[in-house]
Amino acid sequence: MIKIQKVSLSFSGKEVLSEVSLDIKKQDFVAIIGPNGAGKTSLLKIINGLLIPDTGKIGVFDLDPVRNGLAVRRRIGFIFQNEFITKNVPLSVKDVVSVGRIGVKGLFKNLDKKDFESVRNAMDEVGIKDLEDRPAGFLSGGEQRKVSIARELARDVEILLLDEILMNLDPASQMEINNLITHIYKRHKLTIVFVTHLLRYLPEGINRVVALKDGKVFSDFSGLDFNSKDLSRLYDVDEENLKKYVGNFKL
Amino acid sequence: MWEILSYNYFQNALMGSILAGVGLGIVGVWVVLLRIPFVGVAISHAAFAGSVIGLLFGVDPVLMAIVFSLLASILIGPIAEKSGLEANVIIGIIFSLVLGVAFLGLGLITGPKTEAFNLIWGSILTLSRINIYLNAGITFLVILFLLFFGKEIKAVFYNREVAASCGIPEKFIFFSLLFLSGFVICLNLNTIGGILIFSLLINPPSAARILTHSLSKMYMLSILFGIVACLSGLFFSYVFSVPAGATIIIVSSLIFIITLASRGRNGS
Repeated sequence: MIKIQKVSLSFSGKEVLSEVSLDIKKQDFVAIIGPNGAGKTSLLKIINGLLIPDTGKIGVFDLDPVRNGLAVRRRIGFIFQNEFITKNVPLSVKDVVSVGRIGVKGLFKNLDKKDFESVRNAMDEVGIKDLEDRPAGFLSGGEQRKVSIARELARDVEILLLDEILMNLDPASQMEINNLITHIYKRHKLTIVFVTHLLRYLPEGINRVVALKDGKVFSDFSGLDFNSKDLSRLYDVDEENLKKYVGNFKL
Repeated sequence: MWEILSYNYFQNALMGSILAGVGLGIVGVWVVLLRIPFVGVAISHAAFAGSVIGLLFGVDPVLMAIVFSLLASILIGPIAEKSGLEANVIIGIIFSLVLGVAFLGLGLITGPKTEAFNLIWGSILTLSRINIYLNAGITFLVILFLLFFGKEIKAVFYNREVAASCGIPEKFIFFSLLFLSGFVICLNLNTIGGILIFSLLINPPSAARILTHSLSKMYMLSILFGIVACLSGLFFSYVFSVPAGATIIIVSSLIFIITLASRGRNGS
């Protein structure tokens, strides 16, 4: 479903990704971990064509996201790490979730009954139906995350890219969002790429962990293979100290 | 008092006021929600620089004002995109550049400079029919753009990056919003003046935002406040024989103050 072949990317002379190759299959639930600056967010943005790699090839649904950006993006959901809704913009929860349908609909066509049904179903599934008329900018962090998830669900996407969506949430909200992502993965049979730093709180169902370090694939493990020894090498931290911090890590 | 309505210049002023209220009311919502309020100052000074250059080289100053301000509004988006800097920073750079060009030109002009300064102060009572037609044309264009791309504009207000990731042509929408805002500001300089236009661009949508959490209501209230400010400013200016532009701005500021005062302690 996503084929990345020897992709490299630089910003102002600094190499962010270096000959990264990954093959993500349909219904994979992949966690991407790694130190800050390892290239995790850049990799997600390359997958949906928001960033153009310097070298290498990328194919999503057998399309090139550089040449077919709009077509690819309409089938990929993306929740960014810093997309909290500002109070400045007067949009209700329903308005924000409807944004997901706008790209699907295309230019010069108004959203119709079917679109609003998708919006209602998505809000219902995420559990924010009772918030639909509330100003989105005034919601709590956890509620705003649910709004973003509903927005992507309303689009009927096939791939979901989630970039550190647990950041700035309290433990209860982190648990709730993780459970929601697992539920969505199982129910909609999506392909999910989940970037995170919170190694203790990986959602249930993740079947692969890809670690990036210095813009390269450091390791690519399935299921239970990844342990705290690998983590200590990944983060260049003593294993015992790391265990104190993230627990006895094992998927 | 009503005989004033039979005068051509006053009819033009009335129509100019309504068009300014509608046009600036809509693009005001755009610049407030995109958080680029200083675009008004930059565009009006680009027009000023254009008219100075026109006077210097013997070209029609009004035409040059339009060319300069459109050029400025076209350039903001792509330069921000290319440099990776905020649109506000580019607005600041363009503002300082056009101010430099204007002052250089003023220093070199030996003859009268009144025509250039007219754009800074504005003169609603001297609007010509051509001004009215041009303002009506751009206001119509802005309304059409809003009707055709309203849902995409909403997505861009929400979050440009999310809009792009949802498959919405956000760059086209964002650049068009900047360009149309510049166009409306430029054509309304005769009505309200380059310095004073800032207030009419910001006060009505800001007052509207205080009163509503709905985008469509914000547009309607902003247009209403814009028209009320222009018409009542014009009325007071006639009754008390004071400058129209300044009166319009004071009324629009009063509207903002009154809505602010009506707001509850926690913003309710």
